[in-house]
Amino acid sequence: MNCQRFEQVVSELARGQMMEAEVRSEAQAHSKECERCSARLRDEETLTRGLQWLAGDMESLAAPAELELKLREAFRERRVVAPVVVGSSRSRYWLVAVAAVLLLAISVGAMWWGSETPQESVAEKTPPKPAEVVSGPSEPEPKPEPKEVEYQAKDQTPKRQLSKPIRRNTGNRRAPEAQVAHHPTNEIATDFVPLGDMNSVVLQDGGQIIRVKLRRSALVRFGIPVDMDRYNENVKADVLIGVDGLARAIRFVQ
Amino acid sequence: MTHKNELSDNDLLRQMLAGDEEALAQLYRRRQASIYRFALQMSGSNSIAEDVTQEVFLFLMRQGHVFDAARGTLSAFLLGVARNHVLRRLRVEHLLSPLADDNEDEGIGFQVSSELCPLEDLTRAETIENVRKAVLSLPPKYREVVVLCELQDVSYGETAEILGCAIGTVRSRLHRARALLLTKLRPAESVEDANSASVKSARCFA
Repeated sequence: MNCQRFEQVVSELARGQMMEAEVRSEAQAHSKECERCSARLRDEETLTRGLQWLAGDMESLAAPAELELKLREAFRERRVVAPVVVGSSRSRYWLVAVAAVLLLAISVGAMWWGSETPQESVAEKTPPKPAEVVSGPSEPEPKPEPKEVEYQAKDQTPKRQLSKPIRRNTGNRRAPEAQVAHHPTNEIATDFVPLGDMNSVVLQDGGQIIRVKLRRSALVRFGIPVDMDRYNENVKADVLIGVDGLARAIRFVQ
Repeated sequence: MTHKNELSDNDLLRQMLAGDEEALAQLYRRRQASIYRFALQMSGSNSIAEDVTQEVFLFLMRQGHVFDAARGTLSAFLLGVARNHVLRRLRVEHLLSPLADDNEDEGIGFQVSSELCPLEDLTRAETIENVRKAVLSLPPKYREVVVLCELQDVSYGETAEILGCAIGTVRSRLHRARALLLTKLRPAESVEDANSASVKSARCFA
């Protein structure tokens, strides 16, 4: 047997694994002749002993007794929580990515709307035609838009009054969005994304949110596209810590 | 009437899925320790090990019917489930690791110190601690074969079943993992010696 062949069997030899008797005796004979292979075998045997000691040291370890009680209780009350993620991890990433893109689009939209003054918005959003209607009934009536016609047919109200409800509706629709954009902290956050196999029972017990900074590259793990030029920059995130001290969910903050 | 402890794992699972709480308890007592130790040896964290053990049995309650006895043992099935949970948790933990920990070579916190005594001179406690840290610092795909084959004493065949790979892959990964462990446990000067020795032996092969 040469050193190369010895290298292939040295681990098995040190671990006392089953092997052909002939190969074993040849390997043992080689280790006696070759100083390097002898040292190699000694190292492997020492490692094997270390691993056996570690295994022996941990042999008595077991899960805490209260875990059995918890499982029994869950079994009894059928409190088995549906898994957070049903699909594969790839589909989860896609879902998260789609959700993130939608959220981003909504956030950008909200910011854009919020940055406008009410007058500008009304001027932009309200078509000039109803304003003309308000200014004077003697002026020629503009060609009614389909929406106005429908409204008129339903309520049988004069066209002159149409502009008011339309404007009021526009204002009402804008209010909550403007509120989002003018959040006191000026931050936009995604929804919480569960980390690992989150058990919602744990979340019901409460917890706390901790602000952390992550590398922008971490977003990739959640399926969020990352600008490679800013790959090493940090992003803010809120981590939801369960009562057990473990991170349960995360959301990204802008 | 047959005692629960005389029943096979498969029978206990069947009874558990039929609503027998004692079957669950028996199955749990029989299998929890190996699952807990596997998770602990893989993660180095008691809390992760505890969570994973709980998740494995919750999974068994919910989806125990997916186990197919023809494809392997329940023990291997449970370890496979535990492995998935551990790897998922490790990915998350790695993701949330402090930003200051930029040096990935440090692994999970163990770094081979040049001041370490030679392996032979270490006391038993020191050896155990150093081996534990060295195992934790291995990349997961090598760590899991060491944990299963060396620490859990699972056969190559069953390990291959748990990991979903060929037996040959298990063998080669274990061989590579042991080489990595030796490198991590060996003092720096010995590594240099070993490297020079390997050069010499390479010349010898030629």
